[in-house]
Amino acid sequence: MIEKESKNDKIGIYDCIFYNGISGTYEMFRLLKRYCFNGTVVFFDERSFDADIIDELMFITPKNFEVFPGLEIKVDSLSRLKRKISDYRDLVDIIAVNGGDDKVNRMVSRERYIDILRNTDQGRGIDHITAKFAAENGVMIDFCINNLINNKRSLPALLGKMRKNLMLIKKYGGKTILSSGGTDKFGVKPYRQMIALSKFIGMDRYDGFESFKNIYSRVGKNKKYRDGRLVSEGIEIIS
Amino acid sequence: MKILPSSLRTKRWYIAFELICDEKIDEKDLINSIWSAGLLLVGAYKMSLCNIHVINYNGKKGIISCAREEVDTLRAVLAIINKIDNKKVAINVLGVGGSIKKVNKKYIKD
Repeated sequence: MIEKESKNDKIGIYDCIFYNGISGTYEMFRLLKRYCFNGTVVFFDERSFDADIIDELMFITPKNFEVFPGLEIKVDSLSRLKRKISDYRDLVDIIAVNGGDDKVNRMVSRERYIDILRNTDQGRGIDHITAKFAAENGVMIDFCINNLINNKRSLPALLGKMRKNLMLIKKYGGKTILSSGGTDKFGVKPYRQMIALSKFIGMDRYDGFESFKNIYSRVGKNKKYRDGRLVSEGIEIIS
Repeated sequence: MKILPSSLRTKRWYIAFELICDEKIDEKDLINSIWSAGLLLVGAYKMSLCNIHVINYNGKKGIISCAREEVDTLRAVLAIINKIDNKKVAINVLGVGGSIKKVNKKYIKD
């Protein structure tokens, strides 16, 4: 059932943006709050990642708005991927991998410690095997509106790839994420406009809202794992 | 030519929007960019169904009318506009209403 969309109702929708300096990120927080988002994941790349910056971001977070630190990593081999996961797992709430290449997409979809696979539409898209592995291992596939808006190649081709990816993910029961992927205040979009755009890639209204909520459920799960409350899938220490 | 009776006219909705930009944008440039973005995203056929008109625009906020069934299409079209006249912009839909008066009162003059 779709929740009401009025400003008073808390529908729990979360976006993903990229860190762009303290002032730039703060501007994006303010806009996202105005657009009725409940929070956001701020992705850092490996160069800009710093635990002090995360503390500073928490300090500038507006009231009634949640911010979760995330990390986007770029890898080309499995050993590097494993090493980076072990390095950063406890430091951030969400780990995403910049995909695009078929080999990387397949490798990441087999890794259960990865939360999000991004930019799957940049290369040739994902195949049915990758979609199946991603669904089995709980790797969520990101559909980034920023890729759609700032694409340098053909828009119809990109939309076609996204539609094919979504069809495969739906078929194998995987989870999706809808994110603005904004790097500045112009890249952040209201959720209704994002849902309207997602209709072009085959998402309906319900799927769109679910995609906004998936990120929060994953953050909660990761926090429970980190605190030791969640032993494994389905086994949780209550008290 | 006589105007159509109200029962035969296409139903229109009015979309209040806000332009997020550091510089001022002309109305002509805005209309051109909406049309070019619409033609790129949905094509000539769908844009003809949208029946878009910019009712008023004060440099920061404005109202666009469109066919009732195509409000979501227009939302998507406005979402993909990221540059007008080589200036970075973002268009935020403030709200949708059934009459210009209501939309003006609720979203423009607040």
